Amino acid sequence: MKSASLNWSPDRGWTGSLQGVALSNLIIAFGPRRAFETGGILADIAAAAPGAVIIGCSTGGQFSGTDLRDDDVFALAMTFERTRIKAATCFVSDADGDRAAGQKIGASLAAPDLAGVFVLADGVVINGSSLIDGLGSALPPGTPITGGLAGDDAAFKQTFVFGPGAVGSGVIAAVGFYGSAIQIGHGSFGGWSIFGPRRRVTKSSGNVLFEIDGKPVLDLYEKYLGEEEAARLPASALLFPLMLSDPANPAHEVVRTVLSVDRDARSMTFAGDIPEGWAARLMHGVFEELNAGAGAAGQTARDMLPDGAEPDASILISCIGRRLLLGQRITDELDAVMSRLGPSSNAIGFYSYGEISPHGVSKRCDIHNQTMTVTTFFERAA
Amino acid sequence: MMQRHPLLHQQLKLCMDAEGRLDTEKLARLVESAYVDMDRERSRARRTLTIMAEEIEELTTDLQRRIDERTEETNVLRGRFTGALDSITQGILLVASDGMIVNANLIALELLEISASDIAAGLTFGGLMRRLYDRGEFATASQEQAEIWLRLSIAEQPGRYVRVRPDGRHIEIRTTQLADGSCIRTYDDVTERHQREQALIAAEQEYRTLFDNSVVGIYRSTLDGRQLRANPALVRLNGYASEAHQLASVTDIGKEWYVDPNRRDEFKRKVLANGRIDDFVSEIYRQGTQTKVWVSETAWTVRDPDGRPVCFEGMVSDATARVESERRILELSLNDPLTGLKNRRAFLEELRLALKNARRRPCTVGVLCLDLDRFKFVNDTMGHPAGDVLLRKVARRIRQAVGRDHIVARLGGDEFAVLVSRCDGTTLAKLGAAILTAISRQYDVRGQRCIIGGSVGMADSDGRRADADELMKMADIALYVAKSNGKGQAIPFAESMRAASERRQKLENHLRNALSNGELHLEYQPIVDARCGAVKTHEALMRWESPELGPVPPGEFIPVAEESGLLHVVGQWLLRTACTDAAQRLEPRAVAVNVSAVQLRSPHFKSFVLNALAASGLPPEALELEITENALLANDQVTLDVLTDLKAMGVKVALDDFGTGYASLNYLQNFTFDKIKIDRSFVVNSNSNPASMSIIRLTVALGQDLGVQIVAEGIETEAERVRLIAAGCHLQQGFLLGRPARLPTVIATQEPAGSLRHIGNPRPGKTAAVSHRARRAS
Repeated sequence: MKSASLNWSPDRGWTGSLQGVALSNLIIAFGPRRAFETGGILADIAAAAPGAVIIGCSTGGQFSGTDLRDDDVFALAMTFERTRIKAATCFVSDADGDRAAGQKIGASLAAPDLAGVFVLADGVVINGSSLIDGLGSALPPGTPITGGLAGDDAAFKQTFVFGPGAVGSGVIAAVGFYGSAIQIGHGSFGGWSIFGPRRRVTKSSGNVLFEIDGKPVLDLYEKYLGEEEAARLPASALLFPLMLSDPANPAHEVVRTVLSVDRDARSMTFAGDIPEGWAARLMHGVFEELNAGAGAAGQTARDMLPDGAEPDASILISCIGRRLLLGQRITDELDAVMSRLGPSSNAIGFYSYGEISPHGVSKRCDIHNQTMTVTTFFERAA
Repeated sequence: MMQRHPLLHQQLKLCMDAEGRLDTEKLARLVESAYVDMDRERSRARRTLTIMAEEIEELTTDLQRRIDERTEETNVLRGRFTGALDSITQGILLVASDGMIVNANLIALELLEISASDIAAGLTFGGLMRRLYDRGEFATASQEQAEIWLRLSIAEQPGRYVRVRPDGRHIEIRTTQLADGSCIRTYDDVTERHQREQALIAAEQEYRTLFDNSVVGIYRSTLDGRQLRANPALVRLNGYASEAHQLASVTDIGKEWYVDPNRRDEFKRKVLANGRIDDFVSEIYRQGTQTKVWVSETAWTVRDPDGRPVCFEGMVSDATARVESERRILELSLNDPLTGLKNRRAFLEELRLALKNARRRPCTVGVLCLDLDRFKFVNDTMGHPAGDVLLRKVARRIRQAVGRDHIVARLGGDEFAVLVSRCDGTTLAKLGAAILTAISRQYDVRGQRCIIGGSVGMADSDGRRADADELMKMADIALYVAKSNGKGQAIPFAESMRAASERRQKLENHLRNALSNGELHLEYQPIVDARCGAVKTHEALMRWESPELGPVPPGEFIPVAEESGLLHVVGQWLLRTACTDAAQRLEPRAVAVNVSAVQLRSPHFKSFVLNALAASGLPPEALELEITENALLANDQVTLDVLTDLKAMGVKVALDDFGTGYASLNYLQNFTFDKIKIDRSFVVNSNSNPASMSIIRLTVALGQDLGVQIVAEGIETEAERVRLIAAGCHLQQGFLLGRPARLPTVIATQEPAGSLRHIGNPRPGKTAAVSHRARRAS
């Protein structure tokens, strides 16, 4: 396969000619919502690569390699030679709930030679856990699902997802990769550190958490954030992700990050389910550990390719929470990933409201928060 | 060159253009932003630490509170635990994995003779053992054993053992090792249990000796028929090599042991219903052979405390010899040893069986009852051995006559019966005739010839639901009729016979008690010299007034008395009463008594007469015995000898009812009567039938020639009296001359001898009642 990175900026437009992507089968693009809504960018791409499946989403910042830009659009054009591609999209409003939407997408993509699915979904209105649960249930068991939830510059108001036949809010766009030539690697690590006492989820419903240890969860967060940062909720809550573990299966740990808060109900909505009775611990980030986690994700995703081959293309999806914490030092984690993927690897990515990947231990596909999630693509030669 | 901070390096990179010019404004903004970030981060870290410290403080406080609560609970539990330990009857010792004694309850302290302070002072298990040794607790063990014992840790010692203390108490010691290596040891005084066990062992040994050495088989079996135990005697009886061999071989007693598989069910039913069963006799197979033996079982049900049956226990003895002898006895009991025919019991069994079969496969069952005529005569005259020979010959002839298809039995005496299992309308009649023909032929008995006859009564089950007894009764009734009708006949039963038979039976039943109940009495009728009216003697006439049956005529009850054998008793009473009355009350002191042939043939008759005379004081000459012609028909020497003897002593003998019997004047030659009584039939006809008058005159002439007085009976009219006097017959008897009356009446009307009496209110008596005019003879 061949791959090429594309860049569009508001003041310069496309960097270079788009002619090189004419034969691409798949183009994945990330950028600010305003750029897709007004810039005619999608039309440019569609015209340049008429045979390509084009999917993408709005973000909390996008990058190519270690080059992070908030106003630009980055795209990755991939030309597969021995791999079949199929896209499926869905407005969540057309399905009977998030899980049903996932099942619908899965049913459309399911096939015996399906090697993996890459999915992007609205980051504000969709419960990622339900979506993945529905999608996984309709696919052959063990099919790896990677991807992420779209962002909107940490505003948590409206995100934008596009794919064939569906563009806008509340959209799910997915691509299936078929055949034995394609190899898809994945890795997902946080690197966050737990602190404080072990707590317990005492009241929750779906992805809405009401109480921890019998007290309103928002009280706890406001106490730790302090007055100044509490005013910046929900974004500031990303500084303190929550690690959950099932008491019946303690090895299955997931990290949840906040999507929204309800100050009246004293509740917080997370980017994934918060089951009652599960153990919960607050987390905080230390630069070196977060960077090491990102590096481990890149290494794992590469190690899954045959003989540790350098990937033909990679998609990096990192949590908006990591960016808020790392601030100006955010590129350190991109450096850590890129150093593991190899010097010639084409990689783009974005800061998301939720990362999708098989779990490192349980291998169950799930929504993650506060992680660096890396998907690597490698197509065997004939 | 100094290594720059990566962040500054990054910031400078972002603020430098392609030509290397630095955008200081931008740099300043980035640096400031970094400082703000750092301040914020530091402030966040400080706050986090503070809050975390607060939370930890809170948690610690909470934890301490919970520890306090738990400690309180633990103390309460410890108190309860100690209380519980001290309240149980076992001694308990807790030893830690390092051998330190941790705890001991009161019983243990007492038993081991240690104190709580010893434990507090750090007494070890090894130390305890040494103390026990020093106190002599191991005195019953050898020195070597004790030394070994002392070296073992608690965990190395056996999990359970019993130690005998020097005072003889038995202590059971159990040790349980816990997961943490500590041990719990319990001490239980099992002396009493030990003693009970020893007693049980002794008792068990005692019973085992009985079980093993008993000559009677003893077993225990399950309810469903499996053998659980068998003693050596039973094993031998069953032919097995060992108990194990038998238990392994017999899985179903019902099928494998009993010859009749239904016996087990019967056994179970009885033993469960009654709790036990005695002398349950069954035939069984000996092991592995077809050899059968008879056994007698006595068994009982073993029940659990709730009363549910658990198993059976029992004793078995060999009953083969007993069963064989019982069988032989039964065989004997069913056959008549004299003739070899079946006896009455066997005959009835066969009859019952035949009737049962007939109900299943409808057919008619017939019975013939045969009574020999004149057998008694043969027996009496030729002796019993000859009688036995005759019976055997009769039996043989009957058997030949009826053939092999029918069952012949001797019911007793000279009674025989034949059972015909299937018969039609003519079978019985043909067989009856054949039997009578066969037995009536002449017999040669010990060189003497004799002829007997028989009567046959027949009955069949056709159209009746008769049982064996009923059928026999019917045949008996028919037999009775056959005999009454003159013998030598075979007569089938008819329903019409039943009433007469029942009447006869009723009479017999009542007659048995009539004498003791005082229902019998005598009436006396005078025999008079009709010329002058002088009473010469009285004829005693027996009367029966039954409260249930009313007055029974002598003509009806005398034959019944004769056949039933009651006549001897009744006749004896009559003779005694009449003699007494005559001796004490009658005038003249003379009485005539009727005597039957049956009485005459009794070997005791002569002594009866002599006793009656002696008891009453009546002179023999005043007693007159009236006998009928029929009584002399047999013409046997015994009767004649008796009469001759009595006559020689002075007793008078009169021939009664002269002219009605079989006309043989032969007996007048052989015996000299004192009186001949002309039957009343001649008197009644004397007026109308010249022949009767001729016979009367001839008889009178005969009497005059032989020197015998002639008496006319049944004189009821004056014309008869006169006519008879004219014919020369002066002694007369009849209603005209005196009715039969009870003694008081007779006495009241007695007049001096020779006077004629008038008796009014004629009523039925020995002679037909006619009204007459009383007159006094001149």
